[in-house]
Amino acid sequence: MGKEVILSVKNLNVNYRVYEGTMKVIDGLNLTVNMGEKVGLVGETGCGKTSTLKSILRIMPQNCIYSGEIYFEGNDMMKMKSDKMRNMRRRNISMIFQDPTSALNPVFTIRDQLYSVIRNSIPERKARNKREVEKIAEKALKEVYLADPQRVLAGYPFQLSGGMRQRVCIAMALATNKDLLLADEPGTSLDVTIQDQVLRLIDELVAEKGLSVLLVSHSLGVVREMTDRIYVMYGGNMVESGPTKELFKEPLHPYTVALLDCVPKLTGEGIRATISGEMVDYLNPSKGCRFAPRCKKALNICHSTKPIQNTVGSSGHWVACHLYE
Amino acid sequence: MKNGLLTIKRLKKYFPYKKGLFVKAVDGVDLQIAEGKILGLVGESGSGKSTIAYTTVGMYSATEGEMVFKGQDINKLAVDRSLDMKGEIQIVFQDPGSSLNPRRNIKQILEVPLKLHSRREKSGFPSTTKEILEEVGLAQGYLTKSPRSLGGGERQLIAIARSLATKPSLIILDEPTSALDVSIQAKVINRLLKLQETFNLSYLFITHDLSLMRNVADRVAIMYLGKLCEEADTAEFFQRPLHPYTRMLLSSIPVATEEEEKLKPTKIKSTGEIPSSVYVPSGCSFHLRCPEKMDICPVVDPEMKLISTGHYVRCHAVKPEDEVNQ
Repeated sequence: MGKEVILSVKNLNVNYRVYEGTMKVIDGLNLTVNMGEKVGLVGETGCGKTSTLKSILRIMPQNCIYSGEIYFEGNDMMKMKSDKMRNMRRRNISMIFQDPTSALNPVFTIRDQLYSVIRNSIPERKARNKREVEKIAEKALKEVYLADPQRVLAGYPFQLSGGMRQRVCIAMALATNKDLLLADEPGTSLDVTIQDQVLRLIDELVAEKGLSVLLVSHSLGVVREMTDRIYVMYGGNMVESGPTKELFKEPLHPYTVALLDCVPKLTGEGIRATISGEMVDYLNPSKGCRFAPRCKKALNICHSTKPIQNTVGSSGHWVACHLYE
Repeated sequence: MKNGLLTIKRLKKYFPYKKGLFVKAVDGVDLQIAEGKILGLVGESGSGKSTIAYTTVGMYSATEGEMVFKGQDINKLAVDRSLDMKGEIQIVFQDPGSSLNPRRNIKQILEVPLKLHSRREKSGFPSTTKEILEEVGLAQGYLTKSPRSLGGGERQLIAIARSLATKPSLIILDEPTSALDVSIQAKVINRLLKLQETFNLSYLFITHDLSLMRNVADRVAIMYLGKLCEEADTAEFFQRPLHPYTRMLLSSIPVATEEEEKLKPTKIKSTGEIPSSVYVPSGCSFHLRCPEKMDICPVVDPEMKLISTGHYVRCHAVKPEDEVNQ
C-alpha cells in the first residue's frame, strides 16, 4: 500500500506440546501493521489471538514451539538474542493485558512498579535521575486522567478499582515513547461505561503520540469503533481482512458473516444462532479450510485444500475462501 | 401487571461492614414479574443485581421488604421454604464450571432434583433425565460425560436442564451467557427462549449486556447502586431512554452496525465510576456522574415516577408526560 510497515508477521506457526500430542494452533499466519495504523484482530475464544500477540513479544510458555518471521522495523525478532529482545520490549513495543488485576504485582506499590518500568525504558543516564523518573510517572498518570496521582502511586493494586488499575496499566505502557502498542482485550474485564472510557483514552493517547496499534478483541463492536483495518481470525488462520468500514458493510467470508449475524443488536432483530458445531480440534485439524466442518456453504474442495487469499476490490480487502476463487 | 407471579416490594439487603457501617447492596427495590414474561435486570458490577437474585431464591435473608410469590410470602431462607416453593423458583449461575459438581456425571447431576421433585405434579415437564436432555437439545450420549469434558455452552445447557428438573415456574438467570462467545451465546439464548415458550416459564434475566436484553426481555429495569433507575417495556425503553444513566449506558455500548449507531444517544459521554455501596452519595446516588445534575440532586433522593404507560423513571430532571402537557 506504499505505507511504511512497522510490524510484519510472516508464516507464523505456533504449536503447543500437550499430554495428548501436539496442538497445531497457529498455522501459517501473516499480518502487517503499518506506521500509525490501528489494526484490529478479532475472533472467538481459543482462535489464537493471544498466542499471536505473545509470539510477537516472544513471551510464550515453555511448552510452545513456534517458527516464522516477525519483522519489527525491518529486524527479524525471531532471530534476535534475548537481551536485545528484552530491550525491544522495554523501548519499542508495549502491551496492555486483558486483566489488569493479574497484570500488576499485588505485593508491590504502584510506585515501585511504574518507576521500574520507566527506569528500564529510558536511557540509563536519565534513569539514574530520580527527579526525571518521578516527573515522567506523574505525567503518565495525568495523561490517563487519574485524579490523585500521589495516592495512586503510594497504593497497592488491590486498593484501586478495576478501571483505575487498567488506567495504571495503560500509563505504564505509554509512559515513555514507544512505537507499537499491543492491546489484548483492554476493556473486556470492565463494565461498559468504564470500557468506553478506557477505549476512548487509548484512542486519544495513540493519536497524540502517533503510535501504531494492534488491538485484539472478541467484540466486533469494539474493533469496529477503534480500528482502521481488521483481521478476522478463526482457528489459527486469518480468514478475512480489509478496511474496517468496508468489512463491516460487506463481509464476505461465511465465518465473518455468521459471526456478525449472531451478535445481539440494539435494533432488536432477535438472535440467530448461525454457527453450529464445535471449535477446531487443534490436535488434528482438518487439512483444508479449518472452518469447513461448520460452514454452511462448504464445497468438497473446502475439506481437502487450504484456501488462498483472494483479493476483492482495490482497497486491500481479501478473503481466504474457496467461494471467491 | 395484575397477574404478578413474583412481587418484590421495598426490598433491602444490607451486609454488615465495619462498626455501624453497612454495604447497602439492595436499597429499596420494587419489582414485579408477570407470568410467562421475561424481566431483564441490567446494571454494572456492584449495582446489586445478583443480591436480588440470591435473596429471591433464599440464599440470603432480606433485611427489609416483602417478597410474594403466587400469593405466598417467600421472605425466608431456602432451608425454611417448602419443597414446593424451592422447586418453583430456580436459579442458573454465571459460571457453569463452578456450579456443576466435577465429580459427578451429567446423569447424576440431573437425577437428584428429578427424584426430589418427582411427586410434584405439573403437567408437561419432562420426568426422566433423557427427556430433560432432549428439551435442552443435547444428545443422550451426554449422560455419561462429566461436566469437565464439556464446553462452556454445553455446561450452561446442563445447568439449565438441572433447573428444569424441579418443574419451576420462575427461573432466575444470573448472567447465564456472559462467559460465553457470541456464537455459543446465541445458541443458549435461543434454547432458553424456546423453553420459556414451551413451559410458560418466567425469567428474571440478570445481565450487564443491554443489546442482549433488547432481543430477549419483555421488560427492562436498570439498577444503579442498589436502586432502580428506570423501568419500562423493552420497545419503549430503547426508543425513549429517559434516565441519564440509561443513556450513558446505551451510548457506551460498542456496536457492530451503522443502524445501531443511530439508536445510540449521542450527547452523553460516560464519566466516573460506580461509587462504593458503603458510602452511598447523598441525594440521588448518580449525581456524581450525571451530566444533567441540578441543585436539588445532591440533596433530595428522587422518587420513582410514572412517566407514561408502564415507564417508570427515578430522576428529578424527568417530568411525567401529563405534567409537561399542562
